[in-house]
Amino acid sequence: MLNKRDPISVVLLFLLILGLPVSAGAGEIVALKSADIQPYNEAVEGFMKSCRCDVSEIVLNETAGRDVLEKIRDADPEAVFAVGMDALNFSKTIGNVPVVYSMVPNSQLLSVAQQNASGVSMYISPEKFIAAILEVFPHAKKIGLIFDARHSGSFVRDADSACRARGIELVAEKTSRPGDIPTLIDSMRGRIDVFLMVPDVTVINPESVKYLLLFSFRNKVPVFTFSRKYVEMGSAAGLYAAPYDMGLQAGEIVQKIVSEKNGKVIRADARKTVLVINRKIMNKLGIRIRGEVLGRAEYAD
Amino acid sequence: MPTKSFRKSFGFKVFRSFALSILVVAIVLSALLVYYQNSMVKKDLYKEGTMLADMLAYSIRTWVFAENKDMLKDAVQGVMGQKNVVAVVVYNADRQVLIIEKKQSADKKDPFGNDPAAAGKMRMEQAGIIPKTAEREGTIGFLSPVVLETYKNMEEAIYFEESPKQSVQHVIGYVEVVLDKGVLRTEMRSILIRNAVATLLFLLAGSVAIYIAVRRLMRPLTNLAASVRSLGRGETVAQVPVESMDEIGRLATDFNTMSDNLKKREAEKELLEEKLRYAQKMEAVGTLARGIAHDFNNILATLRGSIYLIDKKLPAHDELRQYTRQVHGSIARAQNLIRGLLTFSRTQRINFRPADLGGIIRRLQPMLTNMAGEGVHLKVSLPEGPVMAMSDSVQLEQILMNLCANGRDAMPDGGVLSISVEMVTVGSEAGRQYPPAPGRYAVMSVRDTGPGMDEKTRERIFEPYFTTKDVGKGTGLGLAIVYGIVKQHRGWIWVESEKGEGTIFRVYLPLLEKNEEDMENKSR
Ligand SMILES: Nc1ncnc2c1ncn2[C@@H]1O[C@H](COP(=O)(O)OP(=O)(O)OP(=O)(O)O)[C@@H](O)[C@H]1O
Ligand SMILES: [Mg+2]
Repeated sequence: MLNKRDPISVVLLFLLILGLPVSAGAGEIVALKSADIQPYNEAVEGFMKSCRCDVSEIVLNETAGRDVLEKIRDADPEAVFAVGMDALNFSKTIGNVPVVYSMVPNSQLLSVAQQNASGVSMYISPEKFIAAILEVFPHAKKIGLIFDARHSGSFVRDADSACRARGIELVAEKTSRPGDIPTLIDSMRGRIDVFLMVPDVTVINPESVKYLLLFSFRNKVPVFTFSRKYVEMGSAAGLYAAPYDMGLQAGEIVQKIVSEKNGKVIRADARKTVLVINRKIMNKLGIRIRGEVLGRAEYAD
Repeated sequence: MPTKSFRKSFGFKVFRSFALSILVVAIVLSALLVYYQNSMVKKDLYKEGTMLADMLAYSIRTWVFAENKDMLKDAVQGVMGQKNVVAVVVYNADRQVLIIEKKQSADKKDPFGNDPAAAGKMRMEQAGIIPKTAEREGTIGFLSPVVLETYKNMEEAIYFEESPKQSVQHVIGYVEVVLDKGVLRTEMRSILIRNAVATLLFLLAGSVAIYIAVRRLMRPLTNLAASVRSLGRGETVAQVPVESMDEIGRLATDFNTMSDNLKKREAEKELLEEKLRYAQKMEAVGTLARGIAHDFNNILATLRGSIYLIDKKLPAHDELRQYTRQVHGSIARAQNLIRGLLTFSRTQRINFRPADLGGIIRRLQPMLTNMAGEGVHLKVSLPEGPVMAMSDSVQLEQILMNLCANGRDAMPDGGVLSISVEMVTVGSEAGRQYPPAPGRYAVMSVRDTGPGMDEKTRERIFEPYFTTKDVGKGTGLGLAIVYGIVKQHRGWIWVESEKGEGTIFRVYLPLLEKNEEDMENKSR
């Protein structure tokens, strides 16, 4: 792909890599953010903390693609830290520079082009979700979810086995059409104790979220979600990967890659998850929050 | 004013043109108003339709998205409850009908030309542009897209708060709301009726106002016209009231002046005619008198000769001689009378010459003394110099003789008869009621110490044939002749008399000044 696009730079880069000794230890690194939003900034902060290197930030959305490319090449970084999916997608056009990502939904779902990138994903395993749900709602017996097999098939399989292991039931509805979602949500009435929102692009859109939350209030079924954003909107609770920590993780990976230089791809999922609770919604739904959870959780209300 | 004549009047023309312009204004105004109100009503209907479609599109986006027909039906039926809505159709993004609700009155085809009854596809407009509104006979359709927001980068967006740049709007369907235009028609009808009534009232009020105004404007003109007409017919015309200072007012003033002048002229004409008649009568009388007098004189001459012969034949102391003498006296008096008559009626050619009044009196004095008789003392006082006037001396003598005769007659028991001549300047003092006109005059006065006259007599003394004397003694022509002569001299005669106070006659003749006199003499 590179040689197709810009043969001169390929030659130059080749000469650079072969002919010139590259200094050991972390040199300059460009942090490319998809957008200038709080979680991404936190991730960059964590990254800077752990990699002990010079980091120059570029926001992808604010700068035209060509300029971004030029800037990165001018900086001639040792590695690119891509924050967010867009940034990761863009960084594959840069060329022969190692890319480390974070704030990407799921490492397993990366495309072939992104396969040689290392990094940390926001993926939280179904087991963790089920455990957290039971921590907040200990009496839940049936957990409902809607998913698209194309995106979340394995997640749901794992979730199902995690539920079985704990002796509770997973009520999973499959769909490939966003239009079916309101109907499917309605069909859950009376069949579930908690609804688990799955990070699935087919299922999650503003309309379906609004509809789901409406369903939740009407039927007093709490929604457990994967992002702080939906807890703020009206979900009862959620579990999300802590961005700062993902930054720390990514920093460590960059150090390893730069120092070892063996072309190994290192991938990980977020180490630290955060439980977030909306106390107002919990109150409205008539759910008491246990003391131990109260102490551990973050609040979004 | 009767209607028919008003129809033909100038006022009617004014009224008509005003009324016509009011009509035009009213029609134009009401047309504009109707147009405006109609477009307002239409606009309102459009607003309502657009709003309904937009609202419905917004509220049902979840159901369109979900293609949930039950929920769609609920929402659509809510809209169907609205007054003017006759049909609602919801399409999905593929322009397939999701749901259709319509009232029985609705057309088969909707205004967009779709045939929803066929439950087929929504018709694609040219180049894929879908109009927002479409009108058809009886209905208007409003189309609103059902929009759903999605994200550019779904993976990221489902985790974090999206920035506006990242959201994308997708049209997931269409809502079509069809409104009944009947409301427009009924509204339009009521607007038309309201406007027609308003226009009519406006016209009526305007016409009445203009009619009154025109009538008021025309009234002076009408009055004037009526006056002119009656003046034309020769009727007496009262003054036309002047009501304003404008052209019409000035016309009225001019008319009044004109009719005044006409009246004056008429009076003058009558006076002249009277005078002419009188002159003609006098002429006739004169001619007659002259004829009679001539023959009469001849008869008298014969009589006188015969009586003379008889008297001669009679013995000196015959008793009959007293009768012949009486006859002789009567004949003499008759001859006198005839002479007077002749004098009065004579169309005398007056011979004006500068004459000294004093000289004439002096010349005449012996005769006057003789005429006065024994009992009457004649006193003459004349200025030293001549007092000249353009006059006919024979006629002046006649004046003097008549005035003196009257004086003598007024003093049968004797008295003083004074004659004087003087020059007098008549000024233009205010308050003077009688002529003569201001100027210099030669004044000849004859005064007696007789009994004078009462006012009744005094008023009539210049009338011909007026006399207080016995039949056969006075003819009543003396003063009339005097008056005529004085008038011919462009002079003036004035009498002052009170009962028991005596009488004074003053004759004013225009004084001929010295230089004037010279010129007169030279020109001769
Ligand atoms: N000096 C006067 N005193 C009083 N009355 C007079 C005098 N002169 C005129 N009258 C009155 O005026 C009348 C008219 O006079 P006028 O000379 O015209 O006629 P007469 O003397 O009556 O007749 P005639 O002159 O023809 O003999 C007289 O009859 C007389 O009554
Ligand atoms: Mg006389």
